[in-house]
Amino acid sequence: MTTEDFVNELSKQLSLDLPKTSEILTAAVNVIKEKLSEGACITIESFGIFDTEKKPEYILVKQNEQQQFLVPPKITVVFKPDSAFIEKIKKKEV
Amino acid sequence: MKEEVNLQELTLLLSKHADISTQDAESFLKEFFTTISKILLTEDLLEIKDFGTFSLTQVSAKGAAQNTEENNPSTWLRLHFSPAEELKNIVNKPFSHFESVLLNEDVSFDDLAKVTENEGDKTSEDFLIEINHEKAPEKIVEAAAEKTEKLPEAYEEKETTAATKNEKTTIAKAENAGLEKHKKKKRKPTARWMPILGTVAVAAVLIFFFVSEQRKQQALKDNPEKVPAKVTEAKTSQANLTIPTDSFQLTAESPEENEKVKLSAGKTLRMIALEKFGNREFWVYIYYKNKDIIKNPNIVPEGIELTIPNKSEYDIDASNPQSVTKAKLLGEIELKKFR
Repeated sequence: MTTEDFVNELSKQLSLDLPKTSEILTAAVNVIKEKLSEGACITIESFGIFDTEKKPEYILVKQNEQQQFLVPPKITVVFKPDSAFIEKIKKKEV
Repeated sequence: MKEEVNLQELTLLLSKHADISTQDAESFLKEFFTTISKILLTEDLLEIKDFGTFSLTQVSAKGAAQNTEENNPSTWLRLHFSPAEELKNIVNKPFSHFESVLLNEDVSFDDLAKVTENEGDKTSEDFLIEINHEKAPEKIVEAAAEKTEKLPEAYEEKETTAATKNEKTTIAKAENAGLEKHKKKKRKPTARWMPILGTVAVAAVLIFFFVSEQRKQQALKDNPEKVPAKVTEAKTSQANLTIPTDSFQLTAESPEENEKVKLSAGKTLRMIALEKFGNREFWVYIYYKNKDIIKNPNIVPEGIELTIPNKSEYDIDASNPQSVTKAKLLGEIELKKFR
């Protein structure tokens, strides 16, 4: 599903017009981004946790080229789904 | 300590950002996450622009994600969120200026994890190794560094790790052996020759300078006249600019014979200068030439035998206004000394 479909679905559920829904969605995404960039952990009940984690630097060995690279540390976003949500997904037919 | 943000705090922030009531913000956020959950129960992919993509992938007991496999009791779905590029960049801002660096062969970091790149084998752990612009998929062989944090997804990985543990250790051993071999292998010949070549280059440059210096000295010995000529030239050119009186004394010596004039009664240095050089201002050069016998240029004793300098000695040229001005200035300087 694309962003457009998602906005359509949200506007239906909230009985809002599309531009307004899109505007609030952008604001919501910006708020989440802002908090994550500050290193905060966002917990949404029955949904999951958006968190950041630092992956340490490591050495990448390219055997074919016989080269080694020092790969810098990196902060990434991770999503840890809530256990109830995981159960629901597990029950979904594969 | 990490700041924890819950739905209530997000609501307040959203109401501020979107300029809507707290109630509207709350209902929007609730609906936002509920809709995501609902969609993911029916669809396998949900993309939200500038935020990220939620995707469901089939995971088999072996731990490899498979998207095409038919219904199988040992497979299940796994939820994965991959952040959008913009979100990735914002979050990784503190390390955004770092880049992967190619290491020299003899450099080693014992405390860092080593990851060996293998082609055609993408595991469920691929999210651990995201290297920008690396073409081939990689596989972790030796995860020496502690895994930063355990994800809730670990419930799946526990099983998969057990299944793949043996396989991994075998690969790890094989690759460690490969690395050992590689270390024992001779170092690249270019690396070994670099310092030697550098030393030779420096020695060559030193020899070049030494030889050229010796040639110069030899040339000086062979042609001694050339150098003093140059020095005198340089001094006179300097004298033209700054007009130091002493420099003229240095250049006053000339191998040519000078004319001698006896100062008769009523004659002055100016008169002789006018007579000999065509301008009265050149008297100062006569004074310079006879400084040892003239104590005061204002009072020159009668009957004194004066040596008249050659024109070339002091650059005397009555037709050249610069020469005249220079002589005038020098004359004034000399006269000041006796006031």
